[in-house]
Amino acid sequence: MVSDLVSDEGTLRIIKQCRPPGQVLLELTGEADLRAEAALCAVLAGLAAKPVVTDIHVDLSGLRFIDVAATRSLVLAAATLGPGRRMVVRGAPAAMRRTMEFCWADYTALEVSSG
Amino acid sequence: MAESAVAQGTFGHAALFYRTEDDYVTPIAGFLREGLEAGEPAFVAVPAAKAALLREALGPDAGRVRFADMTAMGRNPAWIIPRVRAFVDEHSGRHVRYVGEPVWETRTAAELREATKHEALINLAFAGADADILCPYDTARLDPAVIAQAHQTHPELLCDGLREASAAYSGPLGLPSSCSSPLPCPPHDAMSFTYTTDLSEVRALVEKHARDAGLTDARAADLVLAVSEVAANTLRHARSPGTLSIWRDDDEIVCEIHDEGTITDPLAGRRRPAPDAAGGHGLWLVHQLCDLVELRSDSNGTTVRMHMALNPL
Repeated sequence: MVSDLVSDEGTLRIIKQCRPPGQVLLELTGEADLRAEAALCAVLAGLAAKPVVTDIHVDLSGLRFIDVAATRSLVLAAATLGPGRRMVVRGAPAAMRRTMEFCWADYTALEVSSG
Repeated sequence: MAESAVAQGTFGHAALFYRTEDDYVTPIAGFLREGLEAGEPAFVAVPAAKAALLREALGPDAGRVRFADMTAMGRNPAWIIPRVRAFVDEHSGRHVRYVGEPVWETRTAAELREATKHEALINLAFAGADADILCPYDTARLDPAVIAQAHQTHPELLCDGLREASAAYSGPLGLPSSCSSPLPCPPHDAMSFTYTTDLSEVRALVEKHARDAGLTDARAADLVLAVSEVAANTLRHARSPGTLSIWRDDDEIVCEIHDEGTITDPLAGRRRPAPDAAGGHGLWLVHQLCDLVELRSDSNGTTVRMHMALNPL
């Protein structure tokens, strides 16, 4: 298993682990706010563009904060995946759960796991 | 039955001034019955004790009216327009009636400003909607200045069962001065902090003050998220630093963001953005998370004042 530091912008670090077949784990640590917005979008868009990646797991348990734009990036990236592909988030901080509740409550493409 | 002066299929927004229980119940029950007889859906959002009076007057017909306790649904007046919008949309293609009482005498000064602003924004939010809206005002208990503002925010008045135009109506884009002039200054001992790029510091300050004020973890997190979103708008849209001020009194903690940006949409935060909308989610969320939000914006800059009660009901 290979771990890559794929982004370290502002106070957000994104580490990617590729787990064959077709699985990727992203670990986000720090604070996902404006300064990391472009970097996060780029990482997500990169994965979404690879049909061979069918399962994207995003571990947010190391995040102290996530803003609305970053939650939006995750929600909309999940919505582009199409049949047979999924994105699952775990360890969502309180800020993300509140944002989902008020802005994307009916949006089910992004799976939010309680584990 | 008195004929309604407003034709069906058009937007109506009338104030009703009452002093006694009978002044209240008779015209409102009449307004609702007229709609029920025509098969129109009806929604009533008034303080719970007032709702009980209306249920009693309507008898079995009350079962055909949807009721909500306005002291909960409209505690933050910015929550009301989305709820009414949802009711109108739910009955799309049909004329609906709505009775809303967002103003009562125990509201704080800031809440009264926002409730008045809400009344003014109803005209913009529902322009062209197939909805007839009636708003009762208790002239026995409310300040005459508040009543004067109701004349400005309502195109019509309902008097003795008849509708008449309100001579003081400010138009769909008009706002009474209480909710458009600059907010009262923060207290002299308010903490003040200028930020240019680092929102981590903004969040840390809000979190510390929220905890010192005794907010629960969940409400402190809500306030941090709200302030961070408004401050992020500074960095996105304003080309100069922003200022965070924080203060509290016995009842609430207040965080204010001021910057040189401009918010042009008067309904910002009062319209649920589409899930894939390019923007608007931040301000929408801020209005949902806080107990009260006051927003003033013009070409000189924007002030967003976010209130959180220390002992929420």
